[in-house]
Amino acid sequence: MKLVTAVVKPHKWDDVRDALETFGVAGMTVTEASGYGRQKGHTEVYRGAEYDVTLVPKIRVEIVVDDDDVADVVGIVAKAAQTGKIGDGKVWVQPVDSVLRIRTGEQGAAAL
Amino acid sequence: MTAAARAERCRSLDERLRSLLAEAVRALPEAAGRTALVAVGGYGRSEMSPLSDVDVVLLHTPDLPDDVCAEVAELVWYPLWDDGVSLDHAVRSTDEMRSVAAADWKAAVGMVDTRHVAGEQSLVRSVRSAVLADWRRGARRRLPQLRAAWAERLDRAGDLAYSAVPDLKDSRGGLRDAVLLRALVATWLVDAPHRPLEEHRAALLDIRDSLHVAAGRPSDRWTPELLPDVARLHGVEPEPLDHQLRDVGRRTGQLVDLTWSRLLHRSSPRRRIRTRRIDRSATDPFAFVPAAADAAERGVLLGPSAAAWFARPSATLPDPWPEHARRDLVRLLAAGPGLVPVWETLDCAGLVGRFLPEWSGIRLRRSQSAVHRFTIDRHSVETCVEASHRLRDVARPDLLVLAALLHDIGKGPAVDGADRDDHSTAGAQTADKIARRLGFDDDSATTVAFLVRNHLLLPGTAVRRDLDDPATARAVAAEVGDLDRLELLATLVECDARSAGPTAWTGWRAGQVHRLVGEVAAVLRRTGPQPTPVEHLGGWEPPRRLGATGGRDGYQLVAEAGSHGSRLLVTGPDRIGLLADLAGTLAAAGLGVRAARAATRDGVAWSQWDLDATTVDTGRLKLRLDRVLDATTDLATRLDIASPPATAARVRVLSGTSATATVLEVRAADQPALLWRVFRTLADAGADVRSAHVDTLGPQAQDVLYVTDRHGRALPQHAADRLAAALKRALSPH
Repeated sequence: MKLVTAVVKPHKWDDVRDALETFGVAGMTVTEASGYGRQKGHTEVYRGAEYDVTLVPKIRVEIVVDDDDVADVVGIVAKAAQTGKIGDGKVWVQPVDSVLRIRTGEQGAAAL
Repeated sequence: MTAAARAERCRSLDERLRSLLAEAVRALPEAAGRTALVAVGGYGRSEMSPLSDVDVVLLHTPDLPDDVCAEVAELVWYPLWDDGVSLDHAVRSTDEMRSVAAADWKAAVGMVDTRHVAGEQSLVRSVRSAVLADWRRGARRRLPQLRAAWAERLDRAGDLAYSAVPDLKDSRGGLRDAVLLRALVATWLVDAPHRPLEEHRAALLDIRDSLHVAAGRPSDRWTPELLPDVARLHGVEPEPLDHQLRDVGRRTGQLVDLTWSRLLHRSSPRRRIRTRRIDRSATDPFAFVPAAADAAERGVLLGPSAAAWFARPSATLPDPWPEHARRDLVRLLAAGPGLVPVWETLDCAGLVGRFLPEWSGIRLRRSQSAVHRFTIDRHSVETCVEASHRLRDVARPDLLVLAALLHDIGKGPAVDGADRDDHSTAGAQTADKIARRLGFDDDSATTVAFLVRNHLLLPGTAVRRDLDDPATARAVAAEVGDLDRLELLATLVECDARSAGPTAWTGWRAGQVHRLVGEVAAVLRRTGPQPTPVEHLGGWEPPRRLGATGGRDGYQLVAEAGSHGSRLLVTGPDRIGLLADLAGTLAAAGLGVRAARAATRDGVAWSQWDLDATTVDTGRLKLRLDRVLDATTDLATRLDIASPPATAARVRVLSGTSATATVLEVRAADQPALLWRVFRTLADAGADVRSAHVDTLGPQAQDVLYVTDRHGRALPQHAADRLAAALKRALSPH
């Protein structure tokens, strides 16, 4: 099993979710995140007050998937989130030792 | 799940305890006549739920040896533990019982409901009467502690009526509040209506018992997941049961609020606030609106007896509402946190249902969204409270507070659970009708409907659309139309989110929405319609022939009386500082100004003042004005000290509005002498007021001033900025 983590632009989140649900991903964890990569953020002015927005708003999606699905899921996320412009985000994959569904006690792939 | 079942549980446990103590006394005869078992807490009140803890005290005389006490306790407690009873136990002498109650108010409140179960009855009787006597004697000293703990509990546990996930025991209006009321009544300082209180408590206990059974543990959290199971145990549908519980909580909470209020007034007479005396002979069906607004602004409760009097069958409310009633309603909605209890009282008395029947769709209705911390009705009222802190951010605070109240009015049963946008569309139609009924004009009603329909537009776009794409801001700008609406919508969105809960207005979301608003504002500044200059709005033109109503040699004052205010017309020779003297004279005479228009033509100044007072003695007012004009009365000394500014004002130079005058906009909390301060600051700077347009919207004064230099020209930008800064200083706390 692997943990796929994606950081995408907020307005691409609906597309990413639709694509993942179509593929059959049953659940995911979604967080409103902020950060920056090579674009280094920018500055905003609101109601006359300038405030520093070095952290750009993003959506962080985390999905635990079976090893066989990793390549597909990464590809789906990348395709759905791509605009071709700076700040499209990243997807990365980490190994997962075990998963337990708290309600039923199921473990491993059965708990996904 | 009834009182009979609870009584049966207690009776069965009483019997078990009686037999256990009797056996213990048989084994240890020296304990006979010197021990008793006392039920306290819920067991003492005979209201144990199927899974409640059992609070029992083994009471003994002070001379009973410790080893005997310990043996009796073991003989009673161990069999109960073996039975699986969840026992909360204590062993105390009669003296200890009294000293514990004296040292710990929580223990004292628990002992108000002590009940003899087994053993020597006289021990229990004497302890109970001593504890109650101590409770009454120390009540005044303990009340602040008790109230602080109550407030802390409410902060933590929320409100049974309105919280998304309330606690049947700890929330406002819950079981602990019912116990607290009994303890407060036991002080003999105050009384509460016993019958409704006991009925509410019994209803709560019935539901609490079912909740424990459904949850399988003694949890008092009213979670939505358990609601269907609890409803099944009660044989009713989930929604009516939820509504019933919340209504009982609301009524119990009101009783507690009122009891505290009476106690505080009694223990500290100087806290009494004199509210406007209600004229009980009056037939005005809108009399409740100013009374409610006064109470909310002062942060006092509207008494249920007054609310019941207002709610008596009376003439139907005219449609549309008259101006004075609408003004008072706006004042109520913009009153701030004081609105919450006053609105609850109006609603419980049936007054909200009378003037806003659409409220029934959202009353005590749970929100389907997990981000909401309140029911929909309370969320709407809380949005008004949030809006009351941001009145200075918008040109029409009256529309802001009305839209805040009505933004979720479409979340009634018909569209509940449907697509999020549906409630906005349905709500917009309803809000439009309501605004017209309340006497708002077509433009205002349309704006309120626009705000309700689009209150999800900004957050939805900000998090779902590409803000880097210029088409996003252009599309929103096309939907919004102008900057005033954008300002209203952005403020409403923030108030809505902040009142929904902490997760609805995170820094992340706020940043997204602020960025979108900034970009839409930039689009509208470039391409949006230019606002119509206030001078050209019409409806306030001075008489063409000023000579007929005034002259160059003296000032003429003419008053027109009305049923809910009067209008004063003043004409006379123009000079710098005249408006300051007029506004100061009115303030010194205690005459509140709702609106004013002033203009100058051919050296003659004309001004029209709409006053709160229904009659004005122009003769006396002229004498006062003469004393101000000949400097006999020093307004600066009188007014500066009497009413210093309480909150900061917002002052802007409206660039580009007029080529021939500098236009200043002032938004400030309405208070006595505000206009005098505005005009005096302008006069001190040598600025001539070409025309003034003064309005009061709820608790906020909005003034637009066209000023020129001595030669009748617009001020240079740096002078205009300096004047705006001087006004802001003069109108803000020193």
